[in-house]
Amino acid sequence: MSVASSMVNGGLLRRLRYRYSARLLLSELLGKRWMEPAIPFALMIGLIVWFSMASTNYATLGNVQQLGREFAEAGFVAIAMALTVISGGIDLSVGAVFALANLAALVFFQLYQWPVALVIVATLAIGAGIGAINGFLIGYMRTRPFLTTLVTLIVLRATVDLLGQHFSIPLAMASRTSWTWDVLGVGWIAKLPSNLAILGIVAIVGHFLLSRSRPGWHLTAIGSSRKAARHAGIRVERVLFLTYVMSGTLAAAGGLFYAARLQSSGSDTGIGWEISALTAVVLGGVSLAGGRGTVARALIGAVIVFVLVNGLVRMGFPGALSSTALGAVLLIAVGIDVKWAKNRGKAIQKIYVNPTMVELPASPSITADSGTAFAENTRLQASEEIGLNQVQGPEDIILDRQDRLYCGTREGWVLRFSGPNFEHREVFARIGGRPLGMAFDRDENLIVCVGGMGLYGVTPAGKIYKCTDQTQRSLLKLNDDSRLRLADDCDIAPDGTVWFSEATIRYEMHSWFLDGIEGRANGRLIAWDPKTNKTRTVIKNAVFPNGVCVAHDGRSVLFCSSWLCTIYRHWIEGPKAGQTEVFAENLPGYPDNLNRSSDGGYWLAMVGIRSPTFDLMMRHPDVRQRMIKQLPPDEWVYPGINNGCIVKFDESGRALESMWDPGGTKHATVTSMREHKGWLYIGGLENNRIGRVRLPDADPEWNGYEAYWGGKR
Amino acid sequence: MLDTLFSRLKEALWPGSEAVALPMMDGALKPNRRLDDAVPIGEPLPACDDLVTLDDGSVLVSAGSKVLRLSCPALAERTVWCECPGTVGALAAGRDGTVYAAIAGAGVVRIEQGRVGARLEQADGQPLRCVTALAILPDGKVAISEGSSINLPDHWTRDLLERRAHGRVVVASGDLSSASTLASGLAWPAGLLVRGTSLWISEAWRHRVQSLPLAGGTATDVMHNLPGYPARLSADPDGGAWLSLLAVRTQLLEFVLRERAYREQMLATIDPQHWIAPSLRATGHYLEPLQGGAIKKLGIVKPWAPPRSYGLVLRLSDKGEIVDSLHSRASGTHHGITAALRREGRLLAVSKGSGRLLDCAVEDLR
Repeated sequence: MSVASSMVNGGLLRRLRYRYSARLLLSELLGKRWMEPAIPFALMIGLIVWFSMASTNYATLGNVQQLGREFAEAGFVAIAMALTVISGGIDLSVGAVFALANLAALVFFQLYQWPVALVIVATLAIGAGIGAINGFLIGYMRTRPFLTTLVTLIVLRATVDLLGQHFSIPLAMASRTSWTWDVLGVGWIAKLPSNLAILGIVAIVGHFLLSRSRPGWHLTAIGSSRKAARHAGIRVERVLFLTYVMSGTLAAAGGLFYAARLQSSGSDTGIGWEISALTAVVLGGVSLAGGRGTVARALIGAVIVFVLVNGLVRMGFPGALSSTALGAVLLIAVGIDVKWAKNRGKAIQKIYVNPTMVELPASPSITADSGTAFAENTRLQASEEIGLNQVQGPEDIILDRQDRLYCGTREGWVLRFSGPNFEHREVFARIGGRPLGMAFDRDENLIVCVGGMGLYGVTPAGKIYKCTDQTQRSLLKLNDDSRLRLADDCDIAPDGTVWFSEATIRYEMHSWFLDGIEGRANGRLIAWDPKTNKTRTVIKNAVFPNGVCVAHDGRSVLFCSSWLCTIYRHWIEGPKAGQTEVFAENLPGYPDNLNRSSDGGYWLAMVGIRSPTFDLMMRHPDVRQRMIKQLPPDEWVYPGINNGCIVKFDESGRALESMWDPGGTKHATVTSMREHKGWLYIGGLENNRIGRVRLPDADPEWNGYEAYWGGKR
Repeated sequence: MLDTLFSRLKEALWPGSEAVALPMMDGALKPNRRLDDAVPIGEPLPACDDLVTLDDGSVLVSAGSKVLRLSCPALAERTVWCECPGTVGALAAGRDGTVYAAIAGAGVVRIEQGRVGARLEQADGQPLRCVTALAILPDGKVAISEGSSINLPDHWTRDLLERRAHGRVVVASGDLSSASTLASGLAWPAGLLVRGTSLWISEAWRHRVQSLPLAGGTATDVMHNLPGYPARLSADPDGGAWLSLLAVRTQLLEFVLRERAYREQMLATIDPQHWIAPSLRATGHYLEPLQGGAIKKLGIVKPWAPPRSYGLVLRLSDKGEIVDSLHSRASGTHHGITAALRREGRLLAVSKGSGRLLDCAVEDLR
């Protein structure tokens, strides 16, 4: 059979293909925000390369410098436009502001003979002033950005025409020159055209302001949802006002450099620039709907538009044709923008789950007459019920020194049962999330792994505190994995360090089974030291690490790997410290929580039994992939988790005995058990009860707290 | 025509995209507990399979290698009517008190007064090993459906998973001395019913019932895209008919039928009782494939969980429309209905899955 199956399943190549999945990388890449402008970026490079090859003398240093100088002014206007679009609005007046600033700068410099510094300040102030008018109307008066700036555009255009006629003759006769003025217009800064260098500085500052500072985040938040931003306490009016002031100033800066470079007040200056800027911004990946975009994207878009128009003109196309081309590009860009923004999440979702091959050897025999330690029996069916129908999903259970029983529930609570027959039920703590594994520390604080939150503690008085919710970030992972996503089970070493497992970093509690479908090493073993409050990842790339138990001598930590049906021992003390070895492997089912027994062994909750069809499916990653795509979750194949099984191991990892509830009549999906004073208590992830069975041969005084902390007090 | 062409093309390009949606259990198919609520008659009858009524009002039931006779009034008396040379499946009663019985792997036998008489072991040179249903034609001949020429009756899930269409319908003379094939290439024909000059044939793996003119001609659909695997048919005195279904289809099984490599490995390496396949009996065993919706939550399995086994009997009008249905859902146990028969105003149903003969309440339609 092994020969046949290896022939069918293919060899090493097939395994490697599933081990390193390109689709996995792609799904994570697509999830990154910096991947959004990937297409515009590629387009930009492509255009530059194409024009370099198609037109002579394009890629020479002189030409590139000249193009850079011409581009810089458009760049300022594009950034101005981008800011307003990200804020959820639009600034159609950027072209007109640009033209007005051009004229004003020339008038101030040539006719009024002002010093260059004053010219700069005054010109920028004019832009800021117009921006302030726009900003006041849009921010405080809540007018529509489109109409408001359209009106500004018309008014400014008329003004520029009037003033242009008035000043055109004196300007034509003026001939003042100045060194600083020439530096602005045709000078160099660090071998770059001065205006391009300044654009670069502005872009870098603007990028950090927008993506890394509070005002930038406010701006983006308003663009995403003005209402939500207001509810979050952002001063929407002021931020919008400042955005338009900034936009006006930047457009004016472009006009200033234009004036210094060309010294001309032509009446067609800046006409149509708002459309080019808008095309650039949308092309670069700034969403017209607002809330999404960066300065870099606006500049990428600006380069594309500039290179395209410039290149077409250079190749002898008439101006009208290049305008048409620009319009077509804008149309396509807007279409893609809408589609992509809408479907990106879906695209990622489609390729997020990436099953790999999990090949388990044939399962050991578990039939009732097999004579193995795993032989099926009905011992768990004799259990007594505790809290029947009063508890929903006690994943883990634990007892304290006063014989009170604690369990986490799916409501996010920790329940406590007390009294002689545990008939008194109370909500001990409302933590939230999904409380999973639990342990008592030396001071009798209840340490709880909470799925979706992290590691939390509850004092005996019921006060909740956070232990840790993050660990160090992996260097080579694309996704930030520092936050704890699914802390699963914990135990505490003699020195007080809490060892806990994080089952998976890729899925939430409600979709834990998708991790099983995937079968990848997505989990980790983490240690939190309460003395230093430091959290460190000890083992990463574990396959669904689940139960955690510190060995009786406190020198090693046992942890289960559910999908591999294996228990590992990680040494934390002694000569083998830091090493991990197999404790028990090829189990007939999926190991869940693991806890100490009174006779020096360990109890293991076997959450499900390996079923042959599921084992076969684990060897067929493509089948699983298609299954989750084509079928609803209720139709997926699961292993046999409608079953109850608890196995006892000795210190060497040998299975000693098992207790069964075949078919799970009382205890399906057993995820935990605790021995306490001669009884074994049973919890289950989906159950409506806790159970307990008498352990006739167990030490009737043994209990967990004393076993951990009794001798050391 | 064009639609079929395009959907074939689409299916070839994107497998699974053209999977026909499973019909909703709604309208006349709306689930109920009527099979669960039905009263079992007498002690369990392990391996019971088919039943017929005799003219004297008693009922014959095939179970294992025996044919049992259940006598009036409450069918409480049980006697062995006939010992057969193999596992008995389908039964049919002729007009003169003769009974025909299908023997797994051995063909059809004629039983007179509780004694096995003539045998039919082959038709047109092909052995008859998997007879699934029998019907007496108006002229006294016997119509015989053979589920598959490859697999035996008990291996019906293998036949389904191998996607076979190796069944046929044979017509034999009343004394079983001669036989000829009426139709072949059928996908597990499992039920026969004479309707005037036509024969209704239920084709389990194609989820349909067809009407085949006895005089010859092409078959036409009576029903198609049924929610399960149609098996035996029986006539109702009011002119309608009853159709029992072996199990209902699940999206998972339809998926596995599309996954060739996986399916073939499953057939080759896994014990048949643990396949992803329909079943007559609900065991809930942990080695069987479990579907997400069937996970026990807060102590119970939801009735609407995707069922591995199911109990379903459909009442059909004379035109073959579904007018009523009796169910036993995932939470029930009266699954795997292999035969249903109207008798004295009640409906007798054989639940092979639970080994029970069920007495169900049904109403007259008019």
